[in-house]
Amino acid sequence: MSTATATADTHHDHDSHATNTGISNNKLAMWLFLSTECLLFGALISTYLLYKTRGNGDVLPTDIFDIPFTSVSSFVLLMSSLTMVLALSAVTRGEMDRGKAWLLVTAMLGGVFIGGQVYEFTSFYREGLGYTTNPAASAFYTLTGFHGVHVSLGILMLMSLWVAAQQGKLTQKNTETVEIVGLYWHFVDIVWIFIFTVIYLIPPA
Amino acid sequence: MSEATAVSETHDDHHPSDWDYVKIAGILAVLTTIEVLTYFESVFTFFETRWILLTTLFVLMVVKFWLVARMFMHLKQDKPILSQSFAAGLALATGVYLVTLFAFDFFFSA
Repeated sequence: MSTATATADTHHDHDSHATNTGISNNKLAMWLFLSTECLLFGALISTYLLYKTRGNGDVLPTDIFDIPFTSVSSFVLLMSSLTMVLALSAVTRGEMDRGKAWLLVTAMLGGVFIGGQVYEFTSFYREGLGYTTNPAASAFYTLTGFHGVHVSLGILMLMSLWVAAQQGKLTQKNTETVEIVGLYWHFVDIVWIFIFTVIYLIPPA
Repeated sequence: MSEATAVSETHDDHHPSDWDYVKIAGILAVLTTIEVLTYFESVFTFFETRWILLTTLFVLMVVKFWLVARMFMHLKQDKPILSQSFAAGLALATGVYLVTLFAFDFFFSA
């Protein structure tokens, strides 16, 4: 074996994992799942963009957006990404109490975001924008509703981790589990970054 | 040694500190504030033409997206295959839906 090959092999052994790809299969699977989620949300966002002016004479979502309120919700979700990464960092270091606290804070921030969405939907409904009022409303509720379901699933996963940690089943050895849930949570945040700009902030032409 | 332990031992020393994460979150908060300010009329009028506003919002969105993916999701430290896997889905979605929007005259009618 040449020196160059030997060096390469040594580096490979140090950096890689006991799989063909050199990384955990679970983590790769989550990234592939998130990759397919881009297509799901892409379809929902495109549909809204195509239907957003089809109001059939009724109120449109863009007429009643409450940007200051949604901005606060967006900020809350953005900060939940910080608390999620701090939770992972703490668990990685073996500081389980701190990790549990950050997991709980992340879930609570997610709960605040969902609460805000429920309030937004309720106020829109009271202003005459029901799910079947017009194509624009249907596309808007479907898009933001799907995102809300994703956030809710994320909260369930976070609470499962917190309960497991409370029972002593989540330890430093399970860092990867926290990391994978974190990837999902950050993705949900990334999707909202896109939705907030494209759906809420860009004014109608 | 379990898979999870092996992964964390391989990458831990490359990860940013908690303070680094707080700084990144601060940058994200500032960028979001700038985005939201464009909504208010006094600031909105600063953007004399619509395309300047759209470009500003789009750039801010991409930077936020990039920061979260690269720093919080650790794509910067992880193996390139993970970035490539995600980029493949993102590129496919972008391509497919841009073509769809073009096909329905979205850009020309707006």
